[in-house]
Amino acid sequence: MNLLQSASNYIDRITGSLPANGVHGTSTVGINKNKIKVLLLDKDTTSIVSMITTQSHLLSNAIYLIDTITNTTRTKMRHLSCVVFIRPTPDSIQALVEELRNPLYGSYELYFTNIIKKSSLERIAESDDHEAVTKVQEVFADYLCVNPDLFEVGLAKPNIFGSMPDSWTAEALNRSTETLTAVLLALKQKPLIRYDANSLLSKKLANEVSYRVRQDPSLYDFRRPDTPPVLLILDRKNDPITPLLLPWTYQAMVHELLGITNNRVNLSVIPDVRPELQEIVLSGTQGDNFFQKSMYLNFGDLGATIKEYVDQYQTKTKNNTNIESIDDMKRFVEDYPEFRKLAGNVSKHVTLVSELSRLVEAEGLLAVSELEQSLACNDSHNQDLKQIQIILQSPNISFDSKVRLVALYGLRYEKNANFSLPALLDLLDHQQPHPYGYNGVNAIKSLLSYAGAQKRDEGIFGGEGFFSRAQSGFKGLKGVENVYTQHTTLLSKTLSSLLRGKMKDASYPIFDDGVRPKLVETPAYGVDTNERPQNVIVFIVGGVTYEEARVVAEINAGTPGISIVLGSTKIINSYDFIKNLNDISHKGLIKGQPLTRLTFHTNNSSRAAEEIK
Amino acid sequence: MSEITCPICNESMVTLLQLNRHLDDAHSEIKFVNNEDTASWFSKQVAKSRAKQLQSVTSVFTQAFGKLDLLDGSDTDGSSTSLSHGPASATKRGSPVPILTDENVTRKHWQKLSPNQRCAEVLCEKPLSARNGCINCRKCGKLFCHKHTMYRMKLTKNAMHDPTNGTWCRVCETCYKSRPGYNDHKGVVIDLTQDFRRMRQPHIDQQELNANRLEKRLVKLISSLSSEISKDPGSVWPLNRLRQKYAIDKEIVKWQADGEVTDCPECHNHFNFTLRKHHCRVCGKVVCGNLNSDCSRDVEINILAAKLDIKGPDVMPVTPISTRICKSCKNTVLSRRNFLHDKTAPLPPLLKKYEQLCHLRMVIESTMPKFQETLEILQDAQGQHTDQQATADATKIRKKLLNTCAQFDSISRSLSNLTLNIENERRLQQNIFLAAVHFLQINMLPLRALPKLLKSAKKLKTGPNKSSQQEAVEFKNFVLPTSRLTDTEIADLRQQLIVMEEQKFLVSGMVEGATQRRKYNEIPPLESSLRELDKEIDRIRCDLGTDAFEN
Repeated sequence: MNLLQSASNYIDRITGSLPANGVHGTSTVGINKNKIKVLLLDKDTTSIVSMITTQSHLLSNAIYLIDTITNTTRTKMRHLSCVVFIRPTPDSIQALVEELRNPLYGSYELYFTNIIKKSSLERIAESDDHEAVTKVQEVFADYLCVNPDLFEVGLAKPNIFGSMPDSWTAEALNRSTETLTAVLLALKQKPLIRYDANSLLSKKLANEVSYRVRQDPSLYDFRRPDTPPVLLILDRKNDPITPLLLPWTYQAMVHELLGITNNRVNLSVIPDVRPELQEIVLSGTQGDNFFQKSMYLNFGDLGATIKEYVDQYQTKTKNNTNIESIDDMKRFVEDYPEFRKLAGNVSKHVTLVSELSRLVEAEGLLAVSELEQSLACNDSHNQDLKQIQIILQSPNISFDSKVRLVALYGLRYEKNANFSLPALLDLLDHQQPHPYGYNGVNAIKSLLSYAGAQKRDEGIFGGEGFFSRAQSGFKGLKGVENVYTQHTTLLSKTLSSLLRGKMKDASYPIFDDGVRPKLVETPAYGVDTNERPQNVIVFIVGGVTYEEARVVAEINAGTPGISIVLGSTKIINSYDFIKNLNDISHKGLIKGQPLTRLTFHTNNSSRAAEEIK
Repeated sequence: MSEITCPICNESMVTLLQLNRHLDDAHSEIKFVNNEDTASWFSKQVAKSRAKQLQSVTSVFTQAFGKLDLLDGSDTDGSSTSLSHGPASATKRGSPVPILTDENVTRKHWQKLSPNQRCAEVLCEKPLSARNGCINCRKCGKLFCHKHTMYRMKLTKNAMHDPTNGTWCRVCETCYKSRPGYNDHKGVVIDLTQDFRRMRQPHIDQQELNANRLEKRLVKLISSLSSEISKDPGSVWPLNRLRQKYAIDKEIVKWQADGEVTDCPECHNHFNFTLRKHHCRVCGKVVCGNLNSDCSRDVEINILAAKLDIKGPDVMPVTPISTRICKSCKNTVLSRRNFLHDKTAPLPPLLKKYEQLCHLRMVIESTMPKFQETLEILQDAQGQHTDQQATADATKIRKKLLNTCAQFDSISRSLSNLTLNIENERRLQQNIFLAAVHFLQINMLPLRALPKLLKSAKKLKTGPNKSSQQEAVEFKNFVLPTSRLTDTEIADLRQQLIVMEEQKFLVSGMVEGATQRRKYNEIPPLESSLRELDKEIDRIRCDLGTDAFEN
């Protein structure tokens, strides 16, 4: 399963670089190839296309104009042919209908990213008075392909929670279902759906996906695999820890500290940044070989790798600087485009990495991370509390880090006898000022009611049970390899039990669609929960981190014959996570029991509590 | 991604090994003959090593999974990872299907172990030993190391892949990856074109019917009006004539009664003293005559006649006669015609230039492989006796290519120099130019590789090359004969000139770039090379004299 290849295959089909199977002779393909095409996109498909292809690729397929379908300032050019690639949303359909009533281009090929309603298709057909449409197809590239094994839904609004934190907004649910079914169709998988038993969100999504699959059985009639693929729908609330921990691998760090949106990183916040580097493209799918090699390296290894890269660049520069004869000159000119590309890439990554290390230094992230890991992995309440208090009072630690630490403390020691979150919240509340317009105290409270101990499955912390305590004792003896990366995500445990065929039916039930034959009748195809799956699609409701993407990539690389694809409603960092929780608390969605255990000292926080109630 | 395809049946393959095997399986007439003796010996060997193998498999699997859960390492359960796990669990649940295990799958085809056996994976070729592992792929039977047999798939008794009734077996990477459907990256595509056409057809038919009806009326209207004029071209529709015109108009179509309508059907404005009622002469409906909303309009009949490709009035009256036509009639009758007309209209200059470019590009693309071929021949013959014909061919093709490239370049430049007023067209122009430059960059590079080869080849050459001179006449368009220099020399010099000028252009671009980026230390060397280039260009121009390119 490769999301990238499937998606770029679709794009090739759209751009016409993929010859139709035997229908046309080669000569017609040659002529079509040269015909100038206009590509019309909508808001959603623009990001889909930009994630997987480059402008030069489009140019080489004679697509010389790219525009949005809603743009009304386009002019009539009826000698050109047009390729329309849109999501079948009401807005886009309306725009298309208007376009076809008065066609600006000579002919149209229509591609939809998902199944289009029959009534919409009729509307379009009725508006096509000029018989300008030559082709109508549904292609299922309805997902944002971030890495070959990572996709994102690409919701317009980050909030997925409806009236309650365990219900969806209609839009988010619909969009997620559409994306998931598109992924299934793009990868040609008809899966067994498993979901988090304690999460209504994932059960609802499982239901929707299963319903869509049942609706159109002929569409999902693929070659029978050895073992049915598994679609595992998880809920973020069962692992609130991972988004709160500071990651130390390249892609994840860039997202955590600078933020990646649709493969773009905004660097204009860096002081003295060169103008061409204010916004850079950081893509795990196209072009940038260095990034593809180093995106999962940890920060230490990254330093060494980037040094090598710079050295390689410098030897090339040296070769290029001593130009003495015409021959040298010629060689230089030949190598120049390649060289300039390299130079651009080197300066991009050097800027990025130096900014990362500046942030690590300036915000004392090493100390923060060490404490975070200790909170997540060890059981030493008093020591941790003391450390947090020290850090809360230190001025050069960022507000975000402090909120993260308190949040981790709240999750970790909720059941501890000496649980003293109110005191910490009080300390946090005195922090000046709240720079990003969110209230840390509120966010932490809603975090505890969203993903507190009562709401989630147990077992995300090491050292909760008796055996694991003994285990951590052993680990203590052995010593830890790297203090900053001790924590293992819940996802890696879940996946390993799934891949070994040992996943518990009770915690991850199979969605019963009432259609699939029971095990007893046909064992080879029936639902054998202990059979080890070879293809797995994981979808995490409520956001996924790049750290988890790394885990999946590692499993894919390290276990032959197993292919896992990870997806989510959004790729989040700790800021997104906390901000989102804060938004929930503003909406007054969460009325949690943990709040009754808290006592408030300041006016501020009691007012906040009233707001919440 | 480079793909390997079978030379016989064009099936695409992932690895060389797979191709190898495919050739053996599908395209060989020789049947696999099994030797009884070896088989029995083999099964004994297998029986002996079996226990050991299974153990090692288990340990490898544990290792592999151990990697993915660092915290949870203690509870890895060896037995559950054993290979016969799938069917075993099926038995537990009392399945009626006969149980197949790994052992039931045939082993007749297994490759026997010979000393110095290496892993059958082409890129691996590790010596097989206890440490590296020595395992038969259950499907193809070849011997592999541990690493390349970490895959499982379901096989039947005959070691054929069968997802329904097979049992889990250990197979090699190639068998796993070449299983049908594994390399299928073409996602589902649903073609709705037929449905769409079907939905569109009744609508189009209706539309055409309507259009034809209206068109006929319009034609009739125009012809009767024009015949009326031809009777008396001089007059300016006096009052009684005006009444006559109304009569003609009303004859064509029954007019809608004024009282029936209170709002204009097009712009939905209420008729009142300022917004007067008018009648469309084609459909007879009441519309307003507001010129801003363009609901209806008085159009001169000879304009309409021209649009409809019919004969207008022969004689023009002093005052042009016009007739009122409403927006919807205009659309039904004319917009389809306009659309087809626009589509077939002569190309604007930008697109004309682009077509020339495309043509040249096709020429370059088709000659390029030929050039590569001759280049390879030359390279093979390097150092030995060089085939004069080959050299001549290469020079010829290269010259042709360079000329085409130069043409391509000049056209793309002139394309970029066109002045366009519309923003969209400007963007189009920019993008075409960008693509053209990119194309040139890719295709000019291999052309530069030739002079070096030619130089070494020329040393071996004796006497002037007559044939190439004759060939050069073919390119008369580009090469004009002069007294001083032979055609080939001129062509060579011109090529040099092109290369030099291009370099000069690039270098001056770099100087500008460096100044902009304030990297002054880079400028002096660049400028010195610029001077050197200028000198060289001057020299060549001098040699060429009047034959130098105009640009």
